[in-house]
Amino acid sequence: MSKETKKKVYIVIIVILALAVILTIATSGFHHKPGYYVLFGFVGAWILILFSKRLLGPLLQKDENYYGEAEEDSCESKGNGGGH
Amino acid sequence: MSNVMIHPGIFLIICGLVAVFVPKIVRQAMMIICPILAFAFAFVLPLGTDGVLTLFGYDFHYMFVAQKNIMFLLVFTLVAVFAGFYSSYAGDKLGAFAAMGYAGGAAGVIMAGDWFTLIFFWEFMAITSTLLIWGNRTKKSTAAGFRYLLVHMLGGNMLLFGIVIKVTQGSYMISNLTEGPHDLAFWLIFLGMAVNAAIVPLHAWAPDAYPESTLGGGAFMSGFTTKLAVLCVCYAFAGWKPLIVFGLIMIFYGACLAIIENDMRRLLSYHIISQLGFMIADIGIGTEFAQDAAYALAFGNVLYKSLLFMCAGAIIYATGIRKINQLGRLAKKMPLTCIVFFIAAFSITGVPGFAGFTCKSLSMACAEEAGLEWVATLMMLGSIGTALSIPIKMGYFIFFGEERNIEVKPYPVVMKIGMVGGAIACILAGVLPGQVYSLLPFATDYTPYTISHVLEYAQLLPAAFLAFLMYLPNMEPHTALTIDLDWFYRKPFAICYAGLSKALFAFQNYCGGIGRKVYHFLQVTSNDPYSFLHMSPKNELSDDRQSHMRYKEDAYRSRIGDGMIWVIGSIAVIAIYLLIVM
Repeated sequence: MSKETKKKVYIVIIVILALAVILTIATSGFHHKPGYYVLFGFVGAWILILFSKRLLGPLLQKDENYYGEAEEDSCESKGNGGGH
Repeated sequence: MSNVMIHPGIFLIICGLVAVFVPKIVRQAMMIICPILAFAFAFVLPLGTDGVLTLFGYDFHYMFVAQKNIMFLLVFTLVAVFAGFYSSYAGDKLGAFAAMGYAGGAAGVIMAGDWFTLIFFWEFMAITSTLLIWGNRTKKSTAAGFRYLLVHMLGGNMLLFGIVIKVTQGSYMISNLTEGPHDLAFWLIFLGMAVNAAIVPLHAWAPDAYPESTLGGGAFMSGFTTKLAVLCVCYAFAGWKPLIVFGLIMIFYGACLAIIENDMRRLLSYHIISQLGFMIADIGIGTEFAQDAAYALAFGNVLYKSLLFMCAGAIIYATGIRKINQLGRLAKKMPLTCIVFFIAAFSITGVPGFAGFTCKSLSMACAEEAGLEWVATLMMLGSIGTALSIPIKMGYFIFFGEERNIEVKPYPVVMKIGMVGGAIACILAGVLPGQVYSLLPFATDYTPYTISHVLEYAQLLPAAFLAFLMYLPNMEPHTALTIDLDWFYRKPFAICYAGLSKALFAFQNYCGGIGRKVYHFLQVTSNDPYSFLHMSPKNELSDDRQSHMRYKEDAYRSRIGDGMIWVIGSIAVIAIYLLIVM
């Protein structure tokens, strides 16, 4: 993703989030903890990403040929599709 | 029409058998038409049907239709229609029999009223689904199929033993076991069902076998085995609290491994475990609302997970690639697949307007209603994992991401029809929640489309995407194999097994060696007993008639004159004796 596209996507997301928070306040006032779900989604996603990528990945991911099964394409994807 | 009652499952199994013996074009047509007919038969079955077959003194309730299974019956036969279209392109005998037999077996389990009917169709599904894996005809799929079969035979046998004990105790019809004694039967039935429901730590077969199945087989299998097990767990264990813990573990286990997985269909398989976690936790909560929540989520999951497998299959067919990090920028090259994928992905994430919003919201709501706010919070965190792994990660890296100049070949129209059908069903389920809820066993009254609920999702999902975007450079999956608990039976168990086999072989060889020596000794001895007794030959043979033999009988034979002397001598002795006596 180019830097400009990324910037645009950031802006779109932030606008959506801001709108959602404003609408929450507009419809149900402040007793619904405005922005709680933004924070929950953002922090939750970071926790899951870091836990999976930094901890589980290095721990569990091995070489593709770990079980000694050499890479082999399925016959369906090789040629005429399903022709055996 | 109302008096026409045909068992859709048995009908499909017979169709599958017939399909083996007809020409290919007819077989392909049958793959499309038979599931449609089965859906029609299921649709016209009235609630309260209870078909009974009496055999060997037992009543087999093989056609039981009630509010508690009608939803499963309809959605399974409907998905069989889409998957039938999708997989009809191949038209091979094995695939056609296995797919229709498997779908028929699934309908048979759903409609089973008693334990024996349940286990019959349950085992039938295990066998036909193994054929769907072997149908891929690669070395990997053969091995994965064997592992799948072994695990499911183990699970099936535990279930069978549990059922036999249960029936001998007198409870013949399927019933809730939570209240009853937690005896051997309880645990065997639970373990047997837990294997099929992919409850961690008995889940490893799913990510092992599903990615190796045929493309069409994946569309069937992803939906049926596990969700059926959920139905059965709900029959037998609703309200058993430990299931909440199992469910929560599954939610995160599946979601986290889906985030790092690279193989498309393996990722989806991990994600099945995550979604099953929601259902198992709901069943553990066990209130009527919670059971409805499990049903609703299973309903949605059968629809959109099968659709996701179809999309992955279409990509594999068109590009020959199954790894996410080898794909990219397919949105323009495969626009239809892209649209269908995102419909399914938004459905599974619970974006308002799609099936998941209708089906998934109930899970969090039932936990809150039961006073388990912490469960609801963890479930919400789990659904962020769904958002991260499927629409965001798969969607971005496959359909956008880097340009890799991938060649895309067209794929059959029937596959597209199946996918579009599934996509339409996902949208309909999303915009008509009332219709979905009316099929629930306890007919829960729930309104998903409230402003605050929609706004919740409008905050949660973009916020998760924001985190993904920030970590984007590191998000692409690596070329690697994620080891799972199948490691235990693929490495140490395999080594132990190989070691045991070698030891036994060595022992056999040793015993064989001794045997061979004894045999050889006896053979030599019996060939030439004189040489064993160290007796020297009497005659030097002048000619060499028997030179090729070790034992030469002529060398030990007495001369004929010796015999004559003995005979004449004996006669002489007898004659002299007689003369003297007389």
